[in-house]
Amino acid sequence: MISVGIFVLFKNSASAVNRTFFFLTLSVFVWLFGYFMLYSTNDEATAKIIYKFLYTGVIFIPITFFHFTNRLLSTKNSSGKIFIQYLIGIFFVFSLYEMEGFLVGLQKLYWGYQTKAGYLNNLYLAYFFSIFIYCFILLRKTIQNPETPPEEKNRIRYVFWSFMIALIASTDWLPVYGIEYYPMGFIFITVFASTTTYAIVKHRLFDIDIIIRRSFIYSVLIFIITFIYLAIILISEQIFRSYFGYRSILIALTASLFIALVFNPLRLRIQNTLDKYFFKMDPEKILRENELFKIEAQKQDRMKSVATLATGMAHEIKNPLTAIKTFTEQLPARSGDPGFINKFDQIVTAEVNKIDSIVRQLLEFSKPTPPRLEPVLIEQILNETLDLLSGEFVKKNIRVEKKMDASDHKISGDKKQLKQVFLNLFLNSLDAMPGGGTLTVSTSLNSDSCLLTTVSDTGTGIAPEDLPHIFDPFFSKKQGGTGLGLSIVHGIIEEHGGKISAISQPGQGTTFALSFP
Amino acid sequence: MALPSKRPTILICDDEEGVRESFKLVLSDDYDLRLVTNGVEALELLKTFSPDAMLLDIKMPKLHGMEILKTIKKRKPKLPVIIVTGYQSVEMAQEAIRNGASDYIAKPFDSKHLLKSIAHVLK
Repeated sequence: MISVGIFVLFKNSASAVNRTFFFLTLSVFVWLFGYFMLYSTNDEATAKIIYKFLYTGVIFIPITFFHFTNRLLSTKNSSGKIFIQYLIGIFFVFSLYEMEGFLVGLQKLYWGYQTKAGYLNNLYLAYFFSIFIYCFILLRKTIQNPETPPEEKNRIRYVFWSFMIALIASTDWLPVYGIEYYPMGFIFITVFASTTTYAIVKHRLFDIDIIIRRSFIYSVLIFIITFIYLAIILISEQIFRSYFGYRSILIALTASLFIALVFNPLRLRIQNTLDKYFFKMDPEKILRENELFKIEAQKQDRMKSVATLATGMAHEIKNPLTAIKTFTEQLPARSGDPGFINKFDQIVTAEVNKIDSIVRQLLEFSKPTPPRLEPVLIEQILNETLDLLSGEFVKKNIRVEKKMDASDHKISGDKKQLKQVFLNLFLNSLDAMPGGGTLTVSTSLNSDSCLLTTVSDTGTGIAPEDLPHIFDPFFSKKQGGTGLGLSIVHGIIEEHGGKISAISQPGQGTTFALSFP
Repeated sequence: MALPSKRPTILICDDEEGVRESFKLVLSDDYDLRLVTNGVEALELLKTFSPDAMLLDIKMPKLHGMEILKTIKKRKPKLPVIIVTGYQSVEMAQEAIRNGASDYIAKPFDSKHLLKSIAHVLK
């Protein structure tokens, strides 16, 4: 149990979900390990120490479950509620160690020492089930919410059902109330631990499906085989004793041989039965659901882009419009002033050109021409684009370094569009290095035969808060920038089936990494 | 003979040349103007210079107009600042007023409205 928690924790210790799951498994581990110790001891004094230890774990199970559920579902404003649960937990722990009402001694049952419940235990039990019911309602609501993505729904569904299975382990409380029922909670906890782990670590349904099935199969299998093995040994021993009057190692060997022979057919039989009755999920249906959800999400993304675009465009056009409007308004009164006419000519023409440029770029952005794909040498395009700007590089004291390691590799691309991509990136680098610097361009092939191209500068860099927005239309921090350049670059690369990303360190420079299939 | 009264000085902060020229065209007959192209320059200038009012754009390189407004209001709470921006959103206008702006004018502005607003804040 604890190894499962540690595995999840190390898989992603930065995630609150993984961390809270670890604490949950730790509480469960303290409980199970405590009972193991309790059943193993014959000394009452030791048993008394152990039961307090194991109950400390039990007390924190609903609390860590509450914490885990809220983090898993990213419930808003849950921190206060979580804090209150921990306070309640501290109260129960205090009452366990300092008050008499929680557990009132021990009873000896046939499997070992067992605790006896006091009145505070009843209160705790009510709290335990209230928390579980509350969390199940939260999980159920998220599953039923139409806005929850199908993959996420499946993930939560598995968490829901695995905790439901884990709840069966609460039958271990029956002996606490004097009912002689052998505590078998550990079986359900094993199923719970493996399914929840995979629901967290792997989002993909099919992995979890396999794991949950295996957990079920092997739990049932172990139960049946143990039963058969014990039955063979007991019956054979009776026969051996009555006929020969002594025990033989042959009995255990025969039983083992029998188990080895029936193991695989039995496993297949259980697997088929479980598949038939419990795992009727249609993988194609889930795939279809996921596909539909992705299309819907893309549509919403597009709508958001259109809204961003409209706002950005309105702002960009309003600036030149301000100048045009003001100068036009003043024209009748100042038409005789040669200074004004000169300024009018200069400003209004520049502002009209600005609007023209914005509209052209916008058209290019919103309706990108599909690339005319042909095999192209990316290094040739890079060199040609660098040549175009060679004068600018000299003028601005910029050194160009080339590290080309994919000379003969051709990609499927549109030469004209790719030239525009590199031109935009190089112009950005030029702007970022007003006092000179180094522009490094590199190409290489990765293990998947993807062509990687990087464009790095030693310029001013991009602020961390701006970095996520650099590909958004109309996002610009440059004097006179329209904020469409990198959006166009992004669009072209996507049309080529490639990817583009940027890393930057303010004051040290920026690197754009492009990969082409 | 009465001394000519001192003309009020307006600090204009806008990154667009066309817009700055428009302000000059509309305001230079009545006011003395100081023009800067970004917030850093504006804040630097305000250390040594006290205008009677300021016209401030929102979307500018280096520093966002709203940040500039907040800093100015801490340093010079009495300086009237008029926001002149292409963003025509109620939320933005409310935020500007909350941060101490005296008025909020949308671009492209109406010259008479701009003059009226300046005259009002200078009273």
